Amino acid sequence: MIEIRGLNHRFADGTQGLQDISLTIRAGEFVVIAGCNGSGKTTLFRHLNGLLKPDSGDIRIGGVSVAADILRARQMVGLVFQDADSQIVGETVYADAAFGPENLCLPVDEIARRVATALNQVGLEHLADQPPHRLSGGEKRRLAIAGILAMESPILVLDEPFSNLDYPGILQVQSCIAGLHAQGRTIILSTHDMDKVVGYASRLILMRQGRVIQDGPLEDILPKVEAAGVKMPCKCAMNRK
Amino acid sequence: MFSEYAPLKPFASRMDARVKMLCMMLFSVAVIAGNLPILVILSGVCLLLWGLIRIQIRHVIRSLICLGMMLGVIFATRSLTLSVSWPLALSWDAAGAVDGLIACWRLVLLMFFGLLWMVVTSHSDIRAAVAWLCKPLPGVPEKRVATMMSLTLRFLPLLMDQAATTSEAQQARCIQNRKNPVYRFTKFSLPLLRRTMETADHLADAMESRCYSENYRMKNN
Amino acid sequence: MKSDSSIRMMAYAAMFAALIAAGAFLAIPIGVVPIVLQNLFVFLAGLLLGKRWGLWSVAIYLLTGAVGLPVFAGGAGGIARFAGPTGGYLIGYLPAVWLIGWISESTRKTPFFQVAAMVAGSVVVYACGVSWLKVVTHMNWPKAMAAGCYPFLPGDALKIAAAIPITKALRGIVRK
Repeated sequence: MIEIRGLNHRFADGTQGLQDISLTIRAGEFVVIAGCNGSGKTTLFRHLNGLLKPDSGDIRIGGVSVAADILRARQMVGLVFQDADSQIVGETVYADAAFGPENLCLPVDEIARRVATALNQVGLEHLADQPPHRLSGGEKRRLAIAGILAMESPILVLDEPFSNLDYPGILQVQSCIAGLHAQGRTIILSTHDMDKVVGYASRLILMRQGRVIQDGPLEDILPKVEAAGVKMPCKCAMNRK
Repeated sequence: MFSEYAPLKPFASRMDARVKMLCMMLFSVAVIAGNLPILVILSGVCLLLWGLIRIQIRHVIRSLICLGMMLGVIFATRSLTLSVSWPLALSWDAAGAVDGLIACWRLVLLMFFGLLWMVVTSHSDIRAAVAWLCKPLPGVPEKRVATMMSLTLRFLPLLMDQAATTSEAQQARCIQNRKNPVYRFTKFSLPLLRRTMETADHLADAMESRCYSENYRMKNN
Repeated sequence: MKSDSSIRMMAYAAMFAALIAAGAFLAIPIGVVPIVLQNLFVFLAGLLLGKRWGLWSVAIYLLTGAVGLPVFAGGAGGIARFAGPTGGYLIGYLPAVWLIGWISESTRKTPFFQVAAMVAGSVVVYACGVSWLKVVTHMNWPKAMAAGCYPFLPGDALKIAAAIPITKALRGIVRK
């Protein structure tokens, strides 16, 4: 589904963002990318839908290079940003979820169908007429996800979806993501808190200083997370003792 | 892009910011109003100060590049005349060219003095000097001026980040497919402004809870 | 409470000063032409903050730049920016924001008066901007207008159109 080959990215100020990343992510996987702040997770995500351009290397989504057709890449890869507030544009929950499909110039009834489905999937349909700034943190995050779902992207990329959420908010977002994965979407998410994804994810990739340092099934990699500056999940640490 | 301060010459950095600011203002007036001999003298002063303070050459080059377009425009519009009637013709005007050169010269000098001043004065000293200057003006609360200046400076980089994220989030949802400019202005500005106002709200609360009032003490007070 | 609201308005005005500064860098591409957002934020400062605080935000922006603090685009800040060909527009923002604030405060909050306020403000900005451009570059009036006013009018019309829904959506948020 996603093939990344030899990806390098250097920022304008000269710091190396990504170094020689090669990954293949298959359809239907639930991939967690973990690492400290500044390890390159967000930079990698921005390459997946063409917000950043690689200095060298190539990314193919479903066989087509991102650079060749950016619009297609953006429809295929739905990117949910860490900061929900800066991506919510609508004056109501409904209008915000409709923003993406409207930009794709879809027919009106198709937009209505997609928005209804998306809001239903994240459990916000009862708030459709509310202004988004009245929502709670977890609801805002789910609205941001709904805005991407309405574009019907088969791949969902979530940047730190659990940051700054209270416990109910985390549970809401967790079950929402698990539900979407169960429907067959490919999920890629970044976090530095493994507790929130153990039991959901199938594959774990550790990043440090712009490189992939570990990649494999979640259970195999979990004991090695602390090398990447990520806290070992409580469950796993207890088992070891 | 937003930081220029580097205390390269300890003496100039230690000098009272108010004195430096008054010098700057005097120089600026002289540059704008002065005739040719005065400009020559000021250029000499400028070179001398440059030798003493040593601004990093990359700062100078960057400022000159920014100024370059302006200078080009001024010089071209004063020295060249484009006849509007057919056939189009450019005519060269020597007196205008001299005139344009002098105007550019003045701008470069102003830029230079501005640069010198920024290199040897820290942001907080600049603020304090401005507040001191505002004091004798009736009806201008000088502390509010200083506070607002520092808030503005602090929030500018934050806002730029915010704007970049908003723009990226919208590109991720294919905004570039929309050609209607009013739609794009609105959709870009609204989240940015809403977020900005929210930050301002939090900030006001935080300032109040730390007992901000316009009677606090400040440097040079 | 009085002190409370003045701190809040001060924070808003400082934020708008930063927005206006940022507006010089922020551009929305329309076709191939990037349209800079700065004067949109000046309009909004007038409409949302009113004449007094709107004037504060523009004044703080200009003052911060004039004393050499890095808020103007590029490294060459300070007085040189005012003496350059575009200095008149910057100065023009001062009376313009006051006028926009005054008109919108002393009329009913309808789109008609808001558009009128912004048109009046723009006239003031161009009056200052083009006159100074003419002084600095020695162009004659028709040329100065052709270089410093006409090309920007379509963009301004679009920004005025966009300012109406933005003001409507945000008016409730500004707690005076």
